[in-house]
Amino acid sequence: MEATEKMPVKKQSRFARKMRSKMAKSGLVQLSSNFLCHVILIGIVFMILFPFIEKLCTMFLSYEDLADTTVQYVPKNWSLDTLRETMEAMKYWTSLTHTVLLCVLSSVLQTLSCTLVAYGFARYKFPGRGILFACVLLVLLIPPQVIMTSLFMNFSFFNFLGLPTLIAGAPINITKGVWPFILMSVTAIAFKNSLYIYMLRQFFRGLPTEIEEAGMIDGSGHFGVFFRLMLPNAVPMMVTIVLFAFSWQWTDNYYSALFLDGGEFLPLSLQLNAIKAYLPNDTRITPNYREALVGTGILLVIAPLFLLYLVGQRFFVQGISQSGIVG
Amino acid sequence: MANEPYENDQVVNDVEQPVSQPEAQPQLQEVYTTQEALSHPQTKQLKKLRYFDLSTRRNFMGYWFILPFAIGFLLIYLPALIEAFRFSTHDIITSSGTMYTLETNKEGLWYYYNTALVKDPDFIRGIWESMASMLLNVVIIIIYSLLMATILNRNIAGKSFYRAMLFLPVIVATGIIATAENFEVTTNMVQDIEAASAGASGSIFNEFGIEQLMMSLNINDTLSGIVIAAIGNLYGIITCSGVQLIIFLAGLQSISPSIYESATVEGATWWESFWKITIPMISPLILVNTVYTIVDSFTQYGNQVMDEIYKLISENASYSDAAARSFVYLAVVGVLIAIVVPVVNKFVFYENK
Repeated sequence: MEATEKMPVKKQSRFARKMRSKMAKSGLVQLSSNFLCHVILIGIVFMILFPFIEKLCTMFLSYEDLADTTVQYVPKNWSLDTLRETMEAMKYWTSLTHTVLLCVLSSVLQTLSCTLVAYGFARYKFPGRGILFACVLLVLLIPPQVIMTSLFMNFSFFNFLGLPTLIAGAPINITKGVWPFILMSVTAIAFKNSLYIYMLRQFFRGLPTEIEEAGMIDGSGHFGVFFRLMLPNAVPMMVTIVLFAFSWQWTDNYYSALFLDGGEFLPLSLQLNAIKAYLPNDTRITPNYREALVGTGILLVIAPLFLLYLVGQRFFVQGISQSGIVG
Repeated sequence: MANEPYENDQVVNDVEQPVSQPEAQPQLQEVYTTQEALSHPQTKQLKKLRYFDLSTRRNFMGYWFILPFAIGFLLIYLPALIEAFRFSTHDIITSSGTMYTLETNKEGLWYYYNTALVKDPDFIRGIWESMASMLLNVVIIIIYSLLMATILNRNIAGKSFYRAMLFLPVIVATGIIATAENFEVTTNMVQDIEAASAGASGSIFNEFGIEQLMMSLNINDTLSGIVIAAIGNLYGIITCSGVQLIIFLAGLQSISPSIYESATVEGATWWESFWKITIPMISPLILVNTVYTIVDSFTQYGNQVMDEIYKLISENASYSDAAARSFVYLAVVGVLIAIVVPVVNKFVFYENK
């Protein structure tokens, strides 16, 4: 993988060298255009990071500083009061545990089911494949808001194949818990799963068929080939999918609000609302202070994800470019 | 089974059972004439089975792999979609807490569509407006991400750092921030305005300054309006184009450098090879990115129509209205994609065609 990636870079630098020698006299042009690129890129990076930097600065302001109009970003009196108060309002550690649990569970399940489905679409030409794949794309295109209410009703009066009626005597309510997430993840219809199926399908189509044939000749069944030969090859791609599913589940507000609101199991994205509910009890409330609390809350939700991104950044970016959407 | 007169049925049954045997089998006789045997229903079944050669039978295995999705789609997603459609044509009578029944509306089956399309002045206008801004945004996002991909494809220092930073919004800037910030804006409007005006007096490079500049240069209103809207929405554009940028970057890296080399030998300038090589080679990805951007902008948080639908559900609890609106919206998006894709496809250059 690395060899193929390095090669074009090497060639390109040779090409660039040629270009440079050709316009040796215009070395200044090269230098200034590089400089211009850096200026543009630094400007854009600054725009992207600015909201986070701003919130980080506000987090350290003390209550007096927030009221003081001469303090803009750098605090006069450093304090961690805002941080402490926000964490209390969000019940930070409890909801962080909930979020991690929910995200790990659903991202792993989603990756497994999507890999299985994508492999089926990529390698088997069964009748009706076109129609079923069109259904995958349909799920991608229909905004989740369209089926929001009916999905909620579906899980509130859950009656899958009549089994709950058979066992418990009546449809059961499985909302306010993780069951809707598990069900939707296992059946590959959760948030953005169609995109993962599409990416993985393109990836599997790129693998050589010889691997499969060799496995069959050596006596593996279809699932044997899949688990023992195909999955090890797909690990980098699956890591990408796990990371995407994890981070999009982390920041998901829509399904969490739909299925978990009002229950005991509250993830971070819902506890952001708790900050707003927490405000009236505080006597020192000012708009500035409220903004600082919400800003710190956002920062606290994003922080673990940010760390994850710094560690797994390579997979996020490479996954999309190597998924074969391109080729 | 044992007394059947066909010797190779055992073999066929051993390999695969994609087609189930008929449930009610006729009584088997001991002795068959040839004619009888050929017209026996089980022979037909077997013959059919033998037509499925090895690869076809292998392909039936595919059903096992896609089983999770098939179950999810047919038993959870599709019923929910159908139910949503029924909501849009019926009155929902809620009784005893959360139980509900559906009743046909007295004013007709298409009452809610009628309300959305005829009686509500905001809805149609909202669709037009979000469509117009979306088309503008698609053009800007495509140009912006192609430009950035070209820059990142050069050999500049800190390339991987920039790449990571430009992709960051895809991961962290999603619904929750928008929701929370939305709250900030509404409660804190006065301060925002103050801050904005304070910033405006301090810098030359702002919307107002550019508007002044354009007016003094006599550039016509439409063009200056577009430029000003683009600058005002710059942050939104940057945060929306992470995925597109990476797709373009991967496409640029897959173009063989030897094409450029030979073009340079023939005397092409950088500008010429950009338009004659880079753009045609990358044009299939322009199509991919266009579709991705359209879908993304229609479903993302902050879309005018989506917000209206969401408000109908969360504040007014009028599910039928919301369902009717979202189906109209869905149809509009579908039609738009059906129009845009062939148009863009005309300009796409396919290497292997």
